[in-house]
Amino acid sequence: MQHLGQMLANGLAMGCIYALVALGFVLVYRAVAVINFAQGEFVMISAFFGVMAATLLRLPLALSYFVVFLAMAAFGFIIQRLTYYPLRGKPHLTVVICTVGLHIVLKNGARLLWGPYPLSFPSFFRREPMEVMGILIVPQTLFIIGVTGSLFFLFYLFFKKTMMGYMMQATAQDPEAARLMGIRVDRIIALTFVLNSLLAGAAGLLLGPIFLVTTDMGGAVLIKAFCATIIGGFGSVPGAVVGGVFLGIVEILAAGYVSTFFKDGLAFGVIILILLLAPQGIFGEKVAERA
Amino acid sequence: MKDRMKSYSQALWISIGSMIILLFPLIVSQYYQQLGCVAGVYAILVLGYDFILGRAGQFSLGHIAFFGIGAYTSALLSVNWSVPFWLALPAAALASSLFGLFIGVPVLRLRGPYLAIATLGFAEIVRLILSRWDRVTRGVDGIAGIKAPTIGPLIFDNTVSFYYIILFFLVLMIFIAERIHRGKYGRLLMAIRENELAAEVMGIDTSKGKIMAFVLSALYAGVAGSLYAHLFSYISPETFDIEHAIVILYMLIIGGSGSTAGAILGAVLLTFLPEWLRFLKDYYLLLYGIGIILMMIFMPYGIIGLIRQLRLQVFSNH
Amino acid sequence: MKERTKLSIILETKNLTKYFGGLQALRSIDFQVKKGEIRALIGPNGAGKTTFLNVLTGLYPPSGGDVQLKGVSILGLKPHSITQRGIARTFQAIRLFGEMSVLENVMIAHHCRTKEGILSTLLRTEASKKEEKMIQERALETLKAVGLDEKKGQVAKSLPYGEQRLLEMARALSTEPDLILLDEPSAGMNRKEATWLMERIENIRTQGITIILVEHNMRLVMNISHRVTVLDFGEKIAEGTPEEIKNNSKVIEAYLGKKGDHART
Repeated sequence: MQHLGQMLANGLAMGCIYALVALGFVLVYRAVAVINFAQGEFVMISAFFGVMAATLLRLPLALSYFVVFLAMAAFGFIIQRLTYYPLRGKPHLTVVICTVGLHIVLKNGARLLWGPYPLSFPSFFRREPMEVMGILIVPQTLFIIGVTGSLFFLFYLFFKKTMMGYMMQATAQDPEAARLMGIRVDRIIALTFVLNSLLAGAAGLLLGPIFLVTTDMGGAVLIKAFCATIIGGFGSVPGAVVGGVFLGIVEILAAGYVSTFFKDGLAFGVIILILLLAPQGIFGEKVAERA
Repeated sequence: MKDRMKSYSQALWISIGSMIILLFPLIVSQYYQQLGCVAGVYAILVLGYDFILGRAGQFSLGHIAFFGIGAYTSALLSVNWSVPFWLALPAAALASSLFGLFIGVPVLRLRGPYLAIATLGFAEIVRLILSRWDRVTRGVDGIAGIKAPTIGPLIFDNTVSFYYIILFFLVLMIFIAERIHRGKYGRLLMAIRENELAAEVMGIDTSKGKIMAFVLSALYAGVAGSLYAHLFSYISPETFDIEHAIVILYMLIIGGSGSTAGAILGAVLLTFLPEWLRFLKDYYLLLYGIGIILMMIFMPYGIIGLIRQLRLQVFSNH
Repeated sequence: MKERTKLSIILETKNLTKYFGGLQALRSIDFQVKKGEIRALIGPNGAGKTTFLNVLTGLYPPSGGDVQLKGVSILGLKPHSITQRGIARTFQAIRLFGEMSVLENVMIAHHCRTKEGILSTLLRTEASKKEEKMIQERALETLKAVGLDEKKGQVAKSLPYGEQRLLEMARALSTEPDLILLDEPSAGMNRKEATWLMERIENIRTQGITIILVEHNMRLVMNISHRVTVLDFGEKIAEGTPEEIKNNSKVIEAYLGKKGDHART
């Protein structure tokens, strides 16, 4: 029972991180109908920013997080301006290929900047596990769950309760109508990208201490984001979150009870199974023609 | 008179081009001979990719998997049972086509992004199987000792001779592709790409059309895979990973999708370019990515697309 | 005698129902069209007219009921099969093959009446060559008949709007249908063009093709249809000759009772 509890907690934590990445991913998709193949790289870059803030600048936890968030917001804005903005209105395939190019640029740019060797993210927490509700959990795990939970809550407030959130929803549903109602669609789209950058950034900061930070980590993260959004239903915002958490838990359980061997392929396998059997996921839109 | 001059100059260009292609391996170094072979193999591969992505307009990212299936089928037949190349190649093409059929039927029901993700997933799973199923595929060690083609007493085990085999198959595959594209079926695929719903309502079985395009693309990939395996006499799963899947996507897009010339141009260009840009060393991939982004902004239809646009403008000015 | 009456009904729906989630788009529609008729289908926006067409052509499966073409149920058939069986349609928004030429757009429509497969195309058999030639000739004839043959090589999306609509109709007719569904063909047309459209529609009828016309242009509807069916909220609320419908109080209420809707006459 102890063992299971621990796995669930860890799975939940990982799942929350996946959910963050998937959430940003879905927001971009809903706003501009584009699959952001560079999503994983946003996470990666944020992790590197975090390493620099903590080791080079030697900032304490809260301050480094703050600095990285600022950096990621700026980063997201610049990237959007340089790559998405010139391509607005062009066919989807063109934009998607552009994001693939961006993926290559960011991955290799990072490699040139920070070198091919993995860096370690200093941990701000003690390593000894605490006991919570009869389960042994490392403080880091609790922190992750706590932070992501708060972020989701903040996001929910923003999305559903603020004017800006409404504008984002409207723009996602019907950009033309939104424009006619006076919404500055271009600005909203820019905001969406910045938001995505922040969410991916948070994920990167949380992932950093768990694994070593390498320029390759983007690829695996991207697959998890895909998987989470498909499980939850592509295009569904709550779906992305639910899908992420679900994936995190299932992965850990599979690794624990079945074998770590299949962990890599699991996400892919799940993607394919779902796409073939129930492509709309849990909450999603209609995705395939009737057979 | 103008027409006759036009066809004379066309014939001249074709002759010069053909001479260059035919004599190429005899006038360059061994290294470039091999590059030429690789370019030829990838040309066939990308030509196949054009069927599903360029012509039918379906965003499949799994093409590389069929390349791998073809290569491994041919390799295993050759190494395990000494099947001669001339039998192994059709077998590889058949194996890839069958996979194309099995995967295509369920997967092609999916739209746009879902199709992309599903096919990407398929490609990754194939690579994982090739890497991990050690007993059959020799895993990450790969398969060595794949036998060279023979015709009677002649053994095609040097690069130059293999170049001509690849060239033969390339010409054959181009011939088949052009026949298909210029006829009824080519038109059908274009209609599916332009407006799938309208095509369906005009009486075209779009599911069948898409599946056939997918199977054809897999067949081409199988041929390319077999040629690749016998060319290098060694294959490993790395050649069939997502990085390479992206490369062949770029080959088609940069050359110009929906065009035979574009597919071949893209394959040749992106085979030789990395060599010429070697001096950039670590910056190469970075510039590559930037190049793609710039290309999507300024030249989204590839090189052939740009040429076509220029031609239209030139003609409309006369 | 009963056989003959049955055969003269080319399309019939029985109890046709369609739900989209919780929303009922079509309610138990019984509908019959006689061969050679021009039937108008009218109703306020959102009444379900296009949904009805979509169910008829197999784009959506119905939630209940049956659709019979020439006495045989076409339920569950894919759209391309339904087209092969003789129903053609045009769309409200133009759905041409934009990058393809005018001629090619029409040639595609002939595919469903041909049988040569990809292998014979590849091998350039006599049969496939003959078939290709026939497709091209027939398509050219069609273009001549509508006056678009001069532009046969032009890219379809470069045509002016009116000609695109014309091409769309010509393309649909090339599938050699027994029944054609026209979805708001007069949208965007001025009075002169609409008159010319009326002539075209009458012309189609004289070729023996039955027509179902979804329209908002009442002048067109009144002038050309034999009978009119009215839908509102997914239900059939009236059916009769144009005269009968014009004076039907339920119909008037359905149109005038809706905010911001205009019935043009």
